[in-house]
Amino acid sequence: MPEEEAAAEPEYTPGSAEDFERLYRRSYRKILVTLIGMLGDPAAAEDCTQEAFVRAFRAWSSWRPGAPAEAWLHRIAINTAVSHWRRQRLRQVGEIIKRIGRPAPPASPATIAENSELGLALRKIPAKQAAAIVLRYYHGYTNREIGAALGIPERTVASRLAAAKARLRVELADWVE
Amino acid sequence: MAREMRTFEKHLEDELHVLLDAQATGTIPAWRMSAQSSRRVMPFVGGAGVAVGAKILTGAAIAVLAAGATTEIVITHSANPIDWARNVQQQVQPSTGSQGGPHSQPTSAVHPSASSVGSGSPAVPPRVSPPSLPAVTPPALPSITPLPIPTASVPPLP
Repeated sequence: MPEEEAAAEPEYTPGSAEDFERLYRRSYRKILVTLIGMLGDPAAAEDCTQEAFVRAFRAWSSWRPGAPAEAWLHRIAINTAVSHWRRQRLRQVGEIIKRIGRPAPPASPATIAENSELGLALRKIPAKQAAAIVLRYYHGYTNREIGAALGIPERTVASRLAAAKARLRVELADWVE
Repeated sequence: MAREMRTFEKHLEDELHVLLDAQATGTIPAWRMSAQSSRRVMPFVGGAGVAVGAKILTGAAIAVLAAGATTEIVITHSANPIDWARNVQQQVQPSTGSQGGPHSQPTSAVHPSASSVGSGSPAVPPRVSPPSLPAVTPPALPSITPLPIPTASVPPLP
């Protein structure tokens, strides 16, 4: 992890465009990586990241300095990605119905890269559970930060993570053993 | 069981880094929101802004013209622009006529020394009298005759 990302989160003033640009530069990659982990598609994750930052900028003046800014951004980004994930699921169902009886098209080169076993397993579990796994085991977030990012109480985070891990263990049964 | 879980968590961490580290090294695109917000202002400046400015200027010009016309009407007691021109001529003619007095004399006649250049005496600056200001008479107020107060007539008792 780069050194500037490991440092403590700086202070920001709500509504300040300069501070938002600092926050953008500091957290863009983290948000993008979380969304790639959730969606498995770097291009879609990039679109959702940009959309999330635009939404966050519009709401920037209402951000409360007490809440961690990066977790707040993650919450907006995860909600954006969940909406995208649902739309994608609906589109896939429509495509499956249209394709009945025809051979499946080849996977696009952009999605082959993340089609590792873990990448595929993360796409099979609910998007918010995938986000919780990335936040804890990639970014090293605390329960409090994960709670703020997912919009759930801190005491619920442990059970959410346990459920996500249980699902992943099932999906990755061969890989673990 | 707990040890097995820790091993699984370690696996998760390692695999996530293998999967996502390559994605975290890309360049960060420039923040575009400031450009977007300034673009949002531009259409107003170019479109509605120009229209509003033109309307303000037109309004101001009309107000100035109206004030000038009102002044002329007050001075001449007439709404006819021909009367305004006549009034201006009347005001200008006395001042041009007065220039035919002592000031119309050639400089050499008033100041004989001026003909001899370099005679030693300093040149006297010509005296300029300001033109007399036109007398402005306020318009006569309309006379108001009070209406007769009706007298209450008491009908005769039956």
